[in-house]
Amino acid sequence: MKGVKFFSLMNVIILISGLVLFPVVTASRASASADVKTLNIGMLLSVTGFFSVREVPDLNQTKFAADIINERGGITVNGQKYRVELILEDCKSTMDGVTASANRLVYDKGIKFIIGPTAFFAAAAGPVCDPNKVLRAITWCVNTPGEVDASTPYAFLGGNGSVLTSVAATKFLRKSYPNVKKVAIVTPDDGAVPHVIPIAKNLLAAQGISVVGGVIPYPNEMQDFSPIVAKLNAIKEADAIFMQNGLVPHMGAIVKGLRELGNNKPYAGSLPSRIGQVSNIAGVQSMENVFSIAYTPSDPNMPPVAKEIIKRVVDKFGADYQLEMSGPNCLWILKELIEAAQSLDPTVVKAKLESMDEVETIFGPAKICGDRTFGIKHHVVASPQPIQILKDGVEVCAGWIDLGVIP
Amino acid sequence: MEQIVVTLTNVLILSSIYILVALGFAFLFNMLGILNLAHGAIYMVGGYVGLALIRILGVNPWVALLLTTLIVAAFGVFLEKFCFRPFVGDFNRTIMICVVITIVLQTAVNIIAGTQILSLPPFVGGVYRMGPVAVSYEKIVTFSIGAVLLVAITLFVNRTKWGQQMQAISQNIDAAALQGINIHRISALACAMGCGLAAISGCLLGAYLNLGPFMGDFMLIKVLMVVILAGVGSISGIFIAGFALGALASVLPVLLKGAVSEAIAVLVVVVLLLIRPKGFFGHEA
Repeated sequence: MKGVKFFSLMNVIILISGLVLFPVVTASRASASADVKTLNIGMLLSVTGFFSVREVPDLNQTKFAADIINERGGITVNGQKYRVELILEDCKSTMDGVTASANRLVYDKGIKFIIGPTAFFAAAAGPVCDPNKVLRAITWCVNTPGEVDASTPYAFLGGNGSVLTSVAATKFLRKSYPNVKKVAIVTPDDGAVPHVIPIAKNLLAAQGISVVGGVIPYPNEMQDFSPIVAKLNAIKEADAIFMQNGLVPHMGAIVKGLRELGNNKPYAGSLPSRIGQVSNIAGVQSMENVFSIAYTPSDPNMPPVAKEIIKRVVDKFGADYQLEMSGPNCLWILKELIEAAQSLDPTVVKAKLESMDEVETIFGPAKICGDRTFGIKHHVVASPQPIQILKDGVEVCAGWIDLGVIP
Repeated sequence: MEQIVVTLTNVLILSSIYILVALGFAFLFNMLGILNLAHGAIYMVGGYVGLALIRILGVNPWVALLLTTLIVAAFGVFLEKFCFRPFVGDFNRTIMICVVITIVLQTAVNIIAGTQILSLPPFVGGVYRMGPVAVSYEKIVTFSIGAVLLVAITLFVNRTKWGQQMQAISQNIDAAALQGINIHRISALACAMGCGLAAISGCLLGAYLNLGPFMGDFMLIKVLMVVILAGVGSISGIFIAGFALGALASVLPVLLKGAVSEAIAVLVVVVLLLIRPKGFFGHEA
């Protein structure tokens, strides 16, 4: 009986404590959530279809960048803190998919800042985003019309692009292979050839390198590259092969084929492709004198923010995971621009971008430039580019290239 | 001169690749009338199974090739029983089932294996050199296996009891059943063989080219072209059609620039079909 009374008393005490403490706890939570608001940032990436090979890694890496931003207090505008929330719309690796996704983000969800789309897909988002003054950070650019140019006032290149990686590859080629005077260019026939190749030729010429044998384009869907390898191998006067664009399987197959024919000329990959993955196809023995643009997880000179993102990627997905890093860079640049503008109005942020000469990226400070090349003032962020080679079967960073100011 | 020799070598190699991949598809199509649009996905799965056996379990590549063939052949029996058999004679539903199988397999591999580019280790290393000719032993092996399989399948279909039963089913399934042929057993065998052949080509080309979840899509188009060009019902026609397509795919990119070569190749196939609507050796389906 005494025990029953004791438990009844305890129940009453717990009940009263709960009634008293509940409003206090919820009030403190409410005040905390009132302190930090949410800033929705749209993402136009293809997580299904053929382009998902590139976009899924980029999405995962962007999520880590968002986590880091939020852990550091989010984005601050006029004293108000904003937690970054990424809103993904799957572009399904089609132009129609991009337009439909852009419509959902802009009209249904009222998003004002978007990361993506990538390269030629970007042109399909412009007609939706530009009239609605939605600022887009494009994750990759191959310079086809409507990606980043005078017709896209609300798009800027935050990731990389063919022109930027070309600058890095040509500079590294000149520095590491001073005897190379003539190159043969190989690139996919993806619509970018007439836009990018003239720029690439000028960049090579600026380094004292000329193009011989014309440009060798190949169908994007090509599987067996033997015919292309035969053509490249026939250009005897070329001192090196310069690969402008393409995908890892393309590069792997061409390197493999050339080496089989006994062609050991330097192979410059001006495309983002991890050398370890290229060697998965071509074989380690084929990788001498081969380099490309890629981020190396073990790079001791990796800038701190990029290093932290890559560490989280490696911890979760393993050391061999594809490192795109353009989505995270776009997000970081957007954060910097919004804070510099102290506004969430895309027009004000865009104006700020156009007035700045430099911005902080996950790879350190980068020039805002590209006025003449892209036909629009200050809409290109030229982040430093790392070069990767294979040494003793292990991916090694061969150095970082400061792109400087792209004309 | 060197380029001509290299191109001629490429004609042989590419032809053997197309023949190798098309064999499994043609086998099912000609024997059972199943337009297995999931063939590309099964070919892709074959490559990944082979990779898993070699990389994860440390199996010898040749043993892995054999095991992969058996595993994927068993999967073929499963497909026949649960996916194809319920829809025998229903072309539309069979197509839909194949699309579903393709999407399921591609998504599963994309999730399990990830998006990174992989490749099987070469079954044979080294390069054979003679004057201007340099061919990897890997290519020679692919060519040889393709040729041997083509001969073996032709002999199987024409000279064995099971092969003749398959032909009987392809000609008239009801009459074949009345003759006492176990339709389900023979169908399962045909599916197993078709999928097994896809697995062999997936492994060999996974070493020669590379592995990716969507690698079967492009190859499926080539396979369809080879089989249609060969003619419905013709296994030996695969040789001629594969050779023709291999020649186009090897020579045109050397003569023409970029994607134009692909378009011209398809155009040539269309013209050939206009001249011979039933393909090289086709009969009425």
